[in-house]
Amino acid sequence: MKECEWTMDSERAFEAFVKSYLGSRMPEMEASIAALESQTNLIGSGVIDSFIFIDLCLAIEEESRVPLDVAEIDFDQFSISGLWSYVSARRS
Amino acid sequence: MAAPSLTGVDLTAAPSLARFVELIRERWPTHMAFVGRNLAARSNAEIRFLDDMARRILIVSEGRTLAAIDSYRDVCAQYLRAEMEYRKKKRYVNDKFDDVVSSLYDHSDRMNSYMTGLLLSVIFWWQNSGPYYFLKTEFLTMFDEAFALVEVGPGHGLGSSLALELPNCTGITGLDISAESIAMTQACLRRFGHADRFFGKVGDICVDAPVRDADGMVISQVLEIVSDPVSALRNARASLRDGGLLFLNAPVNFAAPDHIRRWGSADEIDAILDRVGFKLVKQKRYAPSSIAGGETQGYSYVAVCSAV
Repeated sequence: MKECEWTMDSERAFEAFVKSYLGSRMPEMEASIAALESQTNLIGSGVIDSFIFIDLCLAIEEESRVPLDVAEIDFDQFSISGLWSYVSARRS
Repeated sequence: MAAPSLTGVDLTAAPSLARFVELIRERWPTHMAFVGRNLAARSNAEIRFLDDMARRILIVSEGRTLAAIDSYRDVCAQYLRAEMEYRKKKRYVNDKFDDVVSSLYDHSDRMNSYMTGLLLSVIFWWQNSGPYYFLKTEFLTMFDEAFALVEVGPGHGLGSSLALELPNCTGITGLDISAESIAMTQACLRRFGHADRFFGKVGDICVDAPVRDADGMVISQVLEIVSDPVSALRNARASLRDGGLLFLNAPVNFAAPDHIRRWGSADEIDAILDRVGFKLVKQKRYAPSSIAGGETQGYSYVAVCSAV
């Protein structure tokens, strides 16, 4: 599922992509997703479960063309900013 | 140790469970929200059961609890990776049992860590604890008289120990393809004080029936690993007396590093059970703890069947 285009140029754009993707997956959670802070742990906070997290990672991978190994990312980095750090480090 | 405070969860009467929760708080604090949600969804009886399982796991882990938490964290990561790989390729990394043996089972350090991590999932993942709860409350209670069981792949002996605590359980034959695994089960059951009625046997359920005329059989988290699940269930039927009971637990739609087969629905499993001579008596699905707004796609399918 791809609901928006993401120009991979900043953490802000990345955040918009993530929120747009999650919003399209869980429209009933739109308010919570919009209020997500960049540092919030996506699974730990209970906003999404591990299945949707994997779908999100696949969407990021498709959009960024950066292979994403979830086992390589520390659980504490399962946030928008943590995912951005992972992806941006591998794109540069 | 004071019981850790979790919103809506009272662990005062659950000291072993509280111990592991406290270790999670120390070692992996961002996991606490998940743990809290899972435990908050449990009834008092389920909390007592989880505490009992935690007590057993404390015995098995022999004080290596911090290492167990680290192994559990690693297992969580491996499960995520396995599921992501499956969704990318629509197949598992390993699709033959021998591949799993060479990539995981034959590496004792990796395997020990994996098995230890899985132990803690029995406390913290309802899709893994629920089937044990069902085993205790819905399956073992079906035997009114003396009964003998077979357990295929008894692992740490948690399921066998639940049965062996019952005065009417005369004994359990534990079947595993690996002599090393059987030795581990026996060692664990010795620590539980139940080794005298456990009989280890090395063999392959896909190849032949381990016994005849058993009253009951437990096959938990095995069908997704074996080379030939139809033959396995056919041999399970051949092991049971007419009217004997099978407890089956299998993951549907979720991956693990050692799975070689993905069950897409419980119906697929029911069809095999029907074909080899079992009649479904009761069943239940245990999904991971639900998350507001999220959806759970995978679950553990538990079925009790009668041999007809």
